[in-house]
Amino acid sequence: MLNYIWAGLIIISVVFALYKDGEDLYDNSYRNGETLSVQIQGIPPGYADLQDPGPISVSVKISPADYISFFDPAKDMDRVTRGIKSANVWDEAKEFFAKPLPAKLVTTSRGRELQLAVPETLPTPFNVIYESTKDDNDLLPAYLNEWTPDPDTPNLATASIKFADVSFVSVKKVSSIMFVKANAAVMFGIGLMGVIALWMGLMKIAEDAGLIAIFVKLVRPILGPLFPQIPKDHPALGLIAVNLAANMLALGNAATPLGIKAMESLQELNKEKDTATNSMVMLLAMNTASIQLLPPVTLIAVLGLAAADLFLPIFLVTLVSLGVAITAAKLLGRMKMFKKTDPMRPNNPNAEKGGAA
Amino acid sequence: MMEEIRIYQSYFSAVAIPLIVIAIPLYGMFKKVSVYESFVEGAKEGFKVGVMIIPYLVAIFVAINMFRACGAMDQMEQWLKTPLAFIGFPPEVLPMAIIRPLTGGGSAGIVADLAQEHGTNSLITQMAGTMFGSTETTFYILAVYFGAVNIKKTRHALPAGLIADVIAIFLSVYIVRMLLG
Repeated sequence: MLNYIWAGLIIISVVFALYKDGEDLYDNSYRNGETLSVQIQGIPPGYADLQDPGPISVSVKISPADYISFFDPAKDMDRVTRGIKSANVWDEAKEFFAKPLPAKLVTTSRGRELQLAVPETLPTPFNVIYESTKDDNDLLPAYLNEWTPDPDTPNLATASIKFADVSFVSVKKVSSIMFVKANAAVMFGIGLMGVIALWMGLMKIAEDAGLIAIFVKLVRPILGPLFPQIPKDHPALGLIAVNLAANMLALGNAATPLGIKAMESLQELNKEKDTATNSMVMLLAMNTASIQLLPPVTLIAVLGLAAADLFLPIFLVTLVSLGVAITAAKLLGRMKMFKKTDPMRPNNPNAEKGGAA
Repeated sequence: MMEEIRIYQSYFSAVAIPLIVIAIPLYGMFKKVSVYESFVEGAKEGFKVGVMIIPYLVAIFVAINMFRACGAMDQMEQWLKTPLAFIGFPPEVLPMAIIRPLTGGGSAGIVADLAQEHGTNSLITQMAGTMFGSTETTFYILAVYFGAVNIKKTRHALPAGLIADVIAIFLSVYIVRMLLG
C-alpha cells in the first residue's frame, strides 16, 4: 500500500509539473520574448551615445493597464493565477503598480539592462518571473529594448523592456525541493535524537523500577482486547498505555519517543522483523486518531484564546475517530490480503528463529 | 468558564512534564534502581533510533514535498471544490484537509493563515483548528514509528490511519457547525 502511495506521489509530482510547464510554454504564460512598455524617469540626455555610462539610478513606472494587457487576462490566465488567495489578482496588480519601482540602469554584455528592486510581495504572475530570474542581489533584470525620450519632460523616456525567459518553473521547483527536503529530513532526525534519548532514558528507569509492570496491570482490561497478540504481563501493553496517555494530554514532545519505545517492545514479539504486526498497526492507528483531552500546544500558540472554544469539538471528533481507527485496524486486519502477510500467522515460513513465541 | 479552562490548561502543560521527569527517578530510587545507569542505558537507544529513522524520514519528506511543490494540490482543490460545497464542506478548509495527513508544520501554517484572513473566532478557522487538533500527521507518524524498528512492510497501517483521518476531517466540519455555528 505504502509502496504505491509513495511511488505515486513522486511520479504524479514530476508528471504533473511537466504537464503544467508544457501548458505554460504552449500558452507562453510568462510572455517570453515579448516586450512591455514602461516609463523610465531619470535617463540623462544623450544616454544612448554614451559608451560606458556606469550604473544610473532611475525609477521605472509600469502602468497597471499595460501590465494587465501584457499578461492578457482575457486569455485563460486562471491557471497561472490559481492558488492566489486574493479574489482578483488584477486588482492586486493595479495597487502594486501604482508606485514606480526603483531601478539601476546598467550596461552589460547583453546591452542596456534595468535592474529592478522589487518589494517582497509581488502580484502573480510577476512574482514567478521574479523568482525564476532574479540575480544574486535579488534584483530583477529586464533588458532595455528601446527608449524614446519624452520631448516635454526632461529625463523621462518611454521604453520597452523584456524580461528573461521563464520556463520549466514547476519542474525546477520539484527537483530543487527534493534535495532541500532530503537534507531537512536528516537534520530533523538528528534534532529528534535528544528528546528521544531523554524519554527513552526515563522509560528505562520506569521499566527497571517496575512502574511499567504496574501500568500493564492497570490497563490490561481496557487495552488487552485491542492487542490480543501481546502475551499477559508483557511490558509492551504498559508502554502503549503511556504513549496513548501522553498523546491524550497533548504532550507532543513526549508522545513520539514513548510511541517508539512501545514499538520496540512490540518488535520483540514480532516473528518477521520487517513486517508490521497487527498490534503495531493498531498502535499506529490509535496514535493517528488519538483522543485529545487537551488541544495541542501548537494550536494554542496559533489561535491563542480562541483555541479554548475548540476543546469540546476536538474531544468529540477524536472520540469518534479513535473508534473508527480501532475498527478499521481490526477489520482491515481480517481482510485476506492483510491476513496472509501477518507475521504472527501460524506456520509463517518467514518467521525468524529467536522471535518470541 | 472558558478562560478558567485555558488557565488550568496552561498550568497543566507547564507542570505535567517536569512532574513526570521528577517522579520517575524518584520512584526508581525508592525501588533501589541505579537510576543514573538505567537512564544512560536507555538514552543510548535514543541515538540508534534517531539514526534509524532518518532514511524513512528522507523517503517521506521528499515524496510529500515534491507533491506539494508540483501544484497538483491546487488542481485537486479546483476539482473537489464543487462536489464538497455540495455536501456542506467549505472550500476554504479544503487545503487543510488535503495537507493535514502529509505535514504538521504546513497544516499549522494553514490554520494561522485562515485565522489571519477570517479571524480567530470565525467558523472557518474553528473548523480548521479542530481538524488540526483532532488528526495527526499520519505519514510522519508512520515513518517515525515504523522507521524506529525498521518495519518496511506496513500492511494495513496506512489505510487504517487515513480512514480515521478522513472521518475526523468531515466530522470537524459538522461538529463545529453544530456546536459553534
